Amino acid sequence: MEALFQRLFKELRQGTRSSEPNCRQLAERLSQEVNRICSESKRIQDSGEIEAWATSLGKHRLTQCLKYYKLGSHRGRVDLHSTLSAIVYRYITPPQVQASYQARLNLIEDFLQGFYVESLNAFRRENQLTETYQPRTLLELAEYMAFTERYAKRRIPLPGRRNQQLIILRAQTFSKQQPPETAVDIEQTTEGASGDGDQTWSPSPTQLMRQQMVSQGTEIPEDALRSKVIEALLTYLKEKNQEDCADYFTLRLLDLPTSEIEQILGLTPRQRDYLQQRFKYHLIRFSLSHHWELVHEWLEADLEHNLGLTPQQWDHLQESISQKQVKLLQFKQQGLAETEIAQALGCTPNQLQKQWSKLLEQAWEIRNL
Amino acid sequence: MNRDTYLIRSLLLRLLQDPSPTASSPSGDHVEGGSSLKSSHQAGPDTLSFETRDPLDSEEVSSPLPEVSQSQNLSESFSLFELGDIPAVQDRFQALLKRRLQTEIASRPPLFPWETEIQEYPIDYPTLAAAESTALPIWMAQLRSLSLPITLPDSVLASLLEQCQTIVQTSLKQGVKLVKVTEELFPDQPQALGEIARIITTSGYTSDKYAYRSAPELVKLPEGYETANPVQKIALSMLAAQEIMSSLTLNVSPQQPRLEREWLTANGLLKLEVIYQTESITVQAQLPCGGHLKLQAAGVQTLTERSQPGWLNVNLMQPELNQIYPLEVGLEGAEQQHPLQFVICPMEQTETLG
Repeated sequence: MEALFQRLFKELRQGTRSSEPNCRQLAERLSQEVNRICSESKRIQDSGEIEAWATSLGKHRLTQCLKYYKLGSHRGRVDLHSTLSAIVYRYITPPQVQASYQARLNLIEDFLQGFYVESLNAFRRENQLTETYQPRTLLELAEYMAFTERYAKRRIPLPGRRNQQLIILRAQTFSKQQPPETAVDIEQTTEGASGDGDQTWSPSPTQLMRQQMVSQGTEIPEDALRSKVIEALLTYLKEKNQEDCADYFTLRLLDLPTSEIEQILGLTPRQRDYLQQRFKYHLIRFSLSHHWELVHEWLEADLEHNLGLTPQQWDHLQESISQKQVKLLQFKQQGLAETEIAQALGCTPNQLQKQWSKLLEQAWEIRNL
Repeated sequence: MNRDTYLIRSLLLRLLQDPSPTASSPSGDHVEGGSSLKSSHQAGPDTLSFETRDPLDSEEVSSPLPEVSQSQNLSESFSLFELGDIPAVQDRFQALLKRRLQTEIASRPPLFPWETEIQEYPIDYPTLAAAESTALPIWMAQLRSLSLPITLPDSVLASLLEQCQTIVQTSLKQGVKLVKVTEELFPDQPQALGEIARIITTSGYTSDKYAYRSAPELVKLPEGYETANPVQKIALSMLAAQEIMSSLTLNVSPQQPRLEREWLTANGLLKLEVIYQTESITVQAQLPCGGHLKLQAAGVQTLTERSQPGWLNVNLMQPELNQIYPLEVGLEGAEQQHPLQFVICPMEQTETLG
């Protein structure tokens, strides 16, 4: 571990303008922390690669400290504060059922003030510093900020092989400890959701769906497919340079109300409405054109399953489309290559693509998606 | 129908519609589904046992051993399905929100528990004298009355005073001095320091309120030091430093052979009078309490002290023009106080500053 200390010390001397004693103390604290993790972790001990782990853990700490050091006192705290705020945002629940962006920010402000006290105490305790220790130099401030970020992100094991970040658990506890007069509302929401609650509170359809997804999720370990749909759509939007659609999509997935989406994205209702239209356009293109096979497979509406139509619906589709489209459908089912089909139907690959999207859309409508 | 299929279909249908205009569940409030929140309560966040777990769990650092990390990640990956918990969604949401929040937080940065004001941190430990905090308070009263457009925090003034005392003993150019005395306060902005020092020295800004206001670069004055932007903070600190250096420098010349200077201390007013003659320089000091005067020249050091308030004199024989002679004034307080360093500069012609 002496080697680790020397490496950290040297890098701190090179990477900062701080004095030798300051760098030495930090290098000592960091290497002791890494040492402790390495000796107490069964996984690291079992791996037999203790040295490699120590290097990796030390490097992580060093990089974090240097990041905050370079940002300085002002920008460093802005960075830390916004990182932590973004993590807890969803978990800080304003007492009103009507959540708003600003209400959440005010609560987050209060919450983080308490959290900084907790992390300072943890920092003192874990580094065996006095109860009055406080950072006095830029490097020590950077060390505290880096520690606070790591501390916040520590994963705490929960029953059932699950875990959660420490700061999220704290945020949830904080949200529960709202003053009694506002606690009623929170109780209402929880009771309502559990099914035996207050009559005045009824879950919205989206909530019901969410509950269903969540409760069903417990039965099956894999939710890979749903993640895949979402990740594919995110990637698709990014590829199409639709970053704002991707942001919008993200907020929709979190089930945020319109007003909060508008506040977060800094949009007027009208602009948000345009964005919804644009997003919808890309979502349809994604489903009917570019990734139709993937999406239809997910929907069990691929060609093997007659595009997910019942026999009657399938007949109805065949009747309502042109002769050319009927042929197109047959060729597709036979598994012919695009170029072959285009040749057989006497059209360009582009026209073929369009025809096919149109056909899928018709099936989509008959099937109601 | 397969459950996945059903859920994906519902999801797509939902996304094609407008979002809910009112709040549904505040997102993240996962109580109803029996997800993380409920479970975390069972675990009791306040009684979490840190001892029983592998400390490696607390790391987000990637493993140096790929095969270990992969199996680890698989078993540890989200076991409860939550749309917002899908890593890609979570990352994107947090990055989006962080960007959004940063501008707001930058205008109202948080304070850490031990802070009472947003402060810049020195690169190094404050010198022993400053660290003992008995050093500066006695001299600070004067600095609080500096004519600046905005009052600076004591911590900033203390740092400037500390630095200025050293720098006035050098013959560096004014711009370089300004950079040197403020670089400890703004260690991460060397470029801005140089630029602002240049503006201040070349335009002859003084800390005079009117002159400051008329300076186009700095025209919009912030409410206070805390709300000032970094450039304004640097400019304010440099203007203060300019004032402090000027107060610590006693320029005399054949044209202006007498100079009086006053410095308000916590113990009362300190008065200095410098009398320049071709053959000698005499310093007369009226001390508000017991203290000492020390004047240094090449190879000669003159020290005089008294234990009661009153006058002290020191002489320097055959002063050379354009030399810098350090003059130390020490005052006895309840505790040992750090002395204040002035400099006496006999010049051919007295410069007018600002």
